Amino acid sequence: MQDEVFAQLVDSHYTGLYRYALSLAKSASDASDLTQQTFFVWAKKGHTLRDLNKAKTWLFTTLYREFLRNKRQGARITAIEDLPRGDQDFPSEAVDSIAPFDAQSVMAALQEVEVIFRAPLTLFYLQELSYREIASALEIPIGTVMSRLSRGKAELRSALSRRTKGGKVIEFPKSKEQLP
Amino acid sequence: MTNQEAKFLLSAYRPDGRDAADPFFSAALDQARSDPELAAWFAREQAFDAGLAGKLAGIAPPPGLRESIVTGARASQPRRSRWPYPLLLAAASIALVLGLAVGVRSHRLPATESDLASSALNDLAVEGAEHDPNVPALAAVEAELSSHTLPIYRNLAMDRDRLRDDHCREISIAGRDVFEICFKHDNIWYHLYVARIGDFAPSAPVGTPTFLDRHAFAAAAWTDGRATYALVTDAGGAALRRMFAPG
Repeated sequence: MQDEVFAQLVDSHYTGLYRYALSLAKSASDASDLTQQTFFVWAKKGHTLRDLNKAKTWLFTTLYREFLRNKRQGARITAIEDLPRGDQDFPSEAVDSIAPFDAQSVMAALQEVEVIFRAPLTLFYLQELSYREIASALEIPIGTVMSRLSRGKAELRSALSRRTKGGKVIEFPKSKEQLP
Repeated sequence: MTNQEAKFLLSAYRPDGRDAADPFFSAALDQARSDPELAAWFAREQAFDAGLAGKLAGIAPPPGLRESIVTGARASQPRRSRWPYPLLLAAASIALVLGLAVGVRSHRLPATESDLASSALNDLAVEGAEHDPNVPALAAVEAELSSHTLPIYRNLAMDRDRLRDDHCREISIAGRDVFEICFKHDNIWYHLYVARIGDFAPSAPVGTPTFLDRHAFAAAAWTDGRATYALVTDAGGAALRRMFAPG
């Protein structure tokens, strides 16, 4: 029975978690590891969660924590200290149509967004969590979610715009080894 | 609500309509229905968001990931065994609880004065209308702040224990307890957030405020060696900066 519940949980959420992990970790192999690690933590500690309805938020929270922990260990984190000062408006580039981009280009553009904005932005576009649940998953106030979404979208538009300029789309990194 | 504020809120409105019943968005949605310029912006934003969400949904996990997860997790399930020593079990439980308590506290993400300023500003923007500036026990503190010799960050000695005893409003920012006290200075409302020293890493040298402006809202954060503060107002950046100029 416990195995069945676990399998259901995996089936319901591993795809969304993988997409979230891919946006954070920037490589398919790291994203797979991160997704697997998240369910590994669930297997060890998930039974402590009293309300299974909160499992989804719990999993996204855990994945983000694992991502931060891994980055800290690898000493390559973009920490909160790197948050740019102020909250000036980014120029909203005229990328209002997403049609010309394929999924991999969109993911690559998303990966260019600073991680502090990328995390809520990806959760928003996955559409599985509300703004309140995103705040809970990232352990930040609701107002901060709004602010980071607003700013993240502006950065994403700029990243997409850069991809259209020069008439070429930058190739999506297929694996960890191909990253610069 | 200005169109800019409505846009700020609607940025978090999911394009698949799942948030349609959430009263949090009601006012902004009403405004988008009645304001042609906002309506056009919202339609573009929703189309962009829906398109992007659709693209993201086209990314598939690598083959075999699901099986790896299920198999790997099954192998790591905790084994069940009887514990023959109840007293040791109790001791281990206490140690675990204490360990978790320490662990949870030490697992907080790093945060800076800038984060305090940004979060305090957001707090005022979202919760501002609900603040109660008339807690009787805080009258003396409010009066002291209202007549404080400028610049505000000089000789500001806020006692967090006293604020707690006086039932000052307390919020959590990045997992840290922060007190918020409202006061008027020259007929302008200001909101002072008081955090524990060391909870927010300095963004500037001690005693030097860091400013943040967002539309009509403005915030400044600083550390004075005893606590870390953020001062926020919705009266604009000029009004805030007056508090940091010599009186």
